[in-house]
Amino acid sequence: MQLRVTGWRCHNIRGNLREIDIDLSLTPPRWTLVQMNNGGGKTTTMSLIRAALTGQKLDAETVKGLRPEDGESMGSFELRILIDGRLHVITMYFDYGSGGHSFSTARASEADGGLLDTHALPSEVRSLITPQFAELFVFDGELARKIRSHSSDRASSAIRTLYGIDRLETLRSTIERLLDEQQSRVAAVTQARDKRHVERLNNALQAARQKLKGLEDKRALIVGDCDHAKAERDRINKEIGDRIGQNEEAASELDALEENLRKADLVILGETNELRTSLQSPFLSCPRALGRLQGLSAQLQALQLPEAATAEFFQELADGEFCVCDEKITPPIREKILTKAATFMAADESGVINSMKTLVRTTDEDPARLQQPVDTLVGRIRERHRIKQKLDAKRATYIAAGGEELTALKEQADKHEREIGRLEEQLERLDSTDTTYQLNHGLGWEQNIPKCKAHVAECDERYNTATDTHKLLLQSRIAQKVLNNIETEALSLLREKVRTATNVKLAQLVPAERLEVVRIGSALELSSRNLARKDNVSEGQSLSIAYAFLASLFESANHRLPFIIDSPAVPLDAEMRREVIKVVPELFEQTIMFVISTERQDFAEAFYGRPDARFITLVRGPDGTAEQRDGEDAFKTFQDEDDAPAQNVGEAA
Amino acid sequence: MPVPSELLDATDAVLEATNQPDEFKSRLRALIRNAAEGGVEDRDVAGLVAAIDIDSDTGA
Repeated sequence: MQLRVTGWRCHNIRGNLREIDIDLSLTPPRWTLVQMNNGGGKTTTMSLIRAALTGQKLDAETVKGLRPEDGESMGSFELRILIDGRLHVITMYFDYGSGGHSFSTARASEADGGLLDTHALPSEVRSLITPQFAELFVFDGELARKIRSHSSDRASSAIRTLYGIDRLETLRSTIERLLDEQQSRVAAVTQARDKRHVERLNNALQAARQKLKGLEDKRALIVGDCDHAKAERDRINKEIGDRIGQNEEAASELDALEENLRKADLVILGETNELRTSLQSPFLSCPRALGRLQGLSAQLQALQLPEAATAEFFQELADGEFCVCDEKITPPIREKILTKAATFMAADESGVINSMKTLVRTTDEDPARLQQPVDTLVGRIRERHRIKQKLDAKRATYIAAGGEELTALKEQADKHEREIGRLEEQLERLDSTDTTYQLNHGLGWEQNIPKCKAHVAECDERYNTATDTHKLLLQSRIAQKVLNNIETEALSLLREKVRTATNVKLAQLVPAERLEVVRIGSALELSSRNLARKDNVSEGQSLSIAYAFLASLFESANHRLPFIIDSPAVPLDAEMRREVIKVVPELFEQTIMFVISTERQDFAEAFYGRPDARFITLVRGPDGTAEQRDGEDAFKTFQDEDDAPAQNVGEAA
Repeated sequence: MPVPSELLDATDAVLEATNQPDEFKSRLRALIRNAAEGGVEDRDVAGLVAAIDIDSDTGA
C-alpha cells in the first residue's frame, strides 16, 4: 500500500491556523519544508493529521482547545491523501460549543464522489494505521523515548504491525472463538442434570478469566503509572543536575564521582560473573560438600560398588530356588544367568557412578581457592558503597547550597522514587512466579497473574472434559502453540534484520560514540564504545536512534508511507545535523518537515536548489491569520520574531 | 499484502520440527498466506484444527 499526502486545510483553528490551505498537488514533491514561527501550530497540525488518518475520537477538552482566540463557534480540518493513487479527502468538523466533532470522507474514485458522513478509509488502511502506529510516521518526538522504554513495547509492536505478524493473532482468536462456539453447542444439548454441573464449571471458568483480565488491566495501569513516575523523576533529576552543573567545580566533582561509580559497577559485574561460573563446580561451592563427596567416593571404592552390587544380585538370584518370575531355576538356567549377567548390568548407570568416583578422587580443586576472589569482591562492593555515599553526600551538599527551590526539587524526586518503589512492589506481587514469595505474601490465584493463569487452565480443562470437547481443546492448544512458535521465530528474524540495518545507519549518524543496538526486545537496547549497556543518551542521540530505527523498519516493509515530522533538527547540534541530513532525506519517498527558522542552518539549507523540494513559509499575520509564501527566497529570509537574531544552534536546541 | 519472507521461513522452520500430518502443514502454510491478505474463513481454520493429530507431538 502506498500513501501520499497531497495537502491539508485548516479553518478556524487556534494558533496561526485560521485559514491555511496547503496544496502539494496530486504529484507531491519528495521533500516539503513548512516553516512557521514557534507556537504557530506545528504540533496541532501534526495531531490533526494523525486524528484524520486514524479516525481517532478527540475528547471534548481537546476540541475546545482548538477554538481560536476570537471565539468562533465552528472549525474544520481537511486532509487530502492518495491511497494507491486514489484520492481520499477526510474532513473533521469541530463544534467548539459542545466540544463534539464529526468526520466525513470523500472518495473521488467512487462514481458519486463517495461522500460519507463518517471516517471511511479502506479496511487495509484502517487496520494498519492505528493511533499508536500513526506516531511512527507522523512522528511524535516522544516516541524517541518510548521505543527505548522496556515497558512500552513500542519497538517490537512496530515490527509486529508493519510486517503483518499481528495477523497471526487473528488466526489464534478465530481458533479460540470456534472452540467456544463448539463448547456452547455441546453444553446446550447436555442433559438437565449434567447441565447444571456444566453451568457451574462454565461460571467458574468465566469468573477465572474475568479475574485474569482484571489483574492484567491492573498491571497495565501500574506499569503506566510507574513509567510516568520514572519519567518525572528523571526529568527532575536532570533539572537538578543542570542547575548544579552551572557551578563548574561542582559539576566536575560530581562527574568524576559518577564516572568512578560506573567503573566500580563494571568491575563488580565482571567479577560477579566469574565467581558465579566458578560456583557451578560442586567441589568449589562448599568445603563440607567436597568432604562428603570424597567420603562417599572412598566408601564406594572400598565396597567395590556399583559393580559388586550388580554381580551380587545375579549371584544371589542364581543361588536361589526360584527366579523373580516364580519359575524354578534349573542348573542350565542358573548357568545362563551367571553367563549373561554382564549383559544385563546397567552399564550406563555404572559408568556414570564410576566417572563420578574418579572425578571426586582425582580432583585437586580447593574451596579455599574461592575465598580470595570473594574477599576481593566484598572489598569492591564496599568501595562502591563508599563512592555512592560520597556522591550522595556531595549532591546533597550542592542541593542544600542551591537554596529552597533546589531542595524542593529534590523532595519531589524523592517522592517519585518512593512511589516507584511502591508500584514496583505491587508489580512483583502480580508477576512473581517464585513459590516462596507467593507463600510468604499469601498470594493466591486472585492476586497473582501466573497463579491465575494456571487456575484458568485448570477450569478450562474441567469444563472441556464435562462438555466432551476435550479432543478439540487439545487440538486447539497445539494449533495455538504452533502459531506462537511461528510468531516468536518470525519476530526474531525480523528484529535481527531491522537491528542490523539500524546499526549501519547509526554508525553513520553517531560515528564518535559508536552506538549500537545490541538487541530489540520489548525496547531498543543499546551499547556504546565504552559500555556494554547504555541507557542514558542525549536528546540528539535519542532522535538519531529513532530515525535510524524507523528508516530501517520502513525500508523493507510492504507499505510505503510518508514521513511527517515536527522540528526534526532542533535537538541536534551542528555536527549531528550534518550527519542526519546525509541519511534522513533518502529514507522516505515523501517527507514533510515542519521547521522553525533556527533549523535552516546546517539542516534545511541542505535542500536548497533540489528540484524535488518545496518550501512553504507561513508568516504570522494579524488576528491569528497566516500569510502563505511559496519558494526558497521567502523561506531563506523569514525571521521569526521569537528568535533572537544572534541565537545560535546550540541555544536553540 | 505480500507475506514477509521471514514469516514464511519461520513457518517452515517450526513445521519442520513437528511430526504433524502433511495435511496440517499444507493447510497452515495456505492460511498464513491468506491471513496476510486478510482472507481467512472460519471453515479453513476449523479444517486446520481438525487436521491436528493430538498423539503426534506437542506441536512444536
